[in-house]
Amino acid sequence: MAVKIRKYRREQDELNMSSISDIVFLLLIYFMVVTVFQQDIGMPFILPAASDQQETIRVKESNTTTLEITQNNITLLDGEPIVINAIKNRLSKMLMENPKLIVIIENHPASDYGQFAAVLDEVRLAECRRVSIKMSGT
Amino acid sequence: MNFERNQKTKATVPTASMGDIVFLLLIFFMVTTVFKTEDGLEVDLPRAESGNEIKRDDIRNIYVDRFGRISVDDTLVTEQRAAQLMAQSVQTNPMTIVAFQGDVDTDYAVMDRIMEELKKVNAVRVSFNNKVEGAQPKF
Repeated sequence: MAVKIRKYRREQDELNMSSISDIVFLLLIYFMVVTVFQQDIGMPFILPAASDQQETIRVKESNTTTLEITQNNITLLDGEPIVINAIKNRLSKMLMENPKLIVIIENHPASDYGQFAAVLDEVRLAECRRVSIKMSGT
Repeated sequence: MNFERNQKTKATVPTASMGDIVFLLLIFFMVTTVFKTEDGLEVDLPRAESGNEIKRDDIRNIYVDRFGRISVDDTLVTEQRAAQLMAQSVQTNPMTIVAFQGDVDTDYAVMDRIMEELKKVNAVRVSFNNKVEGAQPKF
């Protein structure tokens, strides 16, 4: 019995690779479009320049309200302790009554910056545009 | 005259290696790309809801960590030196925003000293940078 073994295949089995570059390009473009670079998020604030300080602006005391942050990071609104969450609502109410309201944030030197940032955030949420920052004792 | 009509060998450009070439290019650019970043100091930024996006091109960072160390361009500096560097930036780009990358546990006094120095050199556009994720649990 003779078995015929074919030694040489005529046709070569080959994967069609011509589309692989298209696939890679598509992947490349997909990731280029989808990639989001991390943005910087912050609370902008304009400081009073030293050159402006000669002309001190006088404001009525009735138009101001003071948010004081004590040494122990306790926040006082005009001398009364207040939870940070409540600042926004209180200030919006005060703003409705007096649109000329100026908020003064007075920080104790030993208070934490985080507490100040939290308070400033609430003030911004209340849409107070006239904010002044100072350190107590200065 | 006898022209051969049907060519037996087809003229083709082998495209099988095209994928390899593209991959190589991709890897080359991935390896050589350097994102310009500042290491700064390790800070735990405050969280805030009201943060705005700030244009990267205008930002100069001042890192202040919880020990009160101040870093600009990855070098530890004094308040005065930091303000000087910011003043130089303001001269070249008046829209410069000084971004405070401050730690939540930093004493406010350090921030105040920097701000006083910034006022002197007229670098008045500042930003208190915060974390990208949502609001902090307030108490």
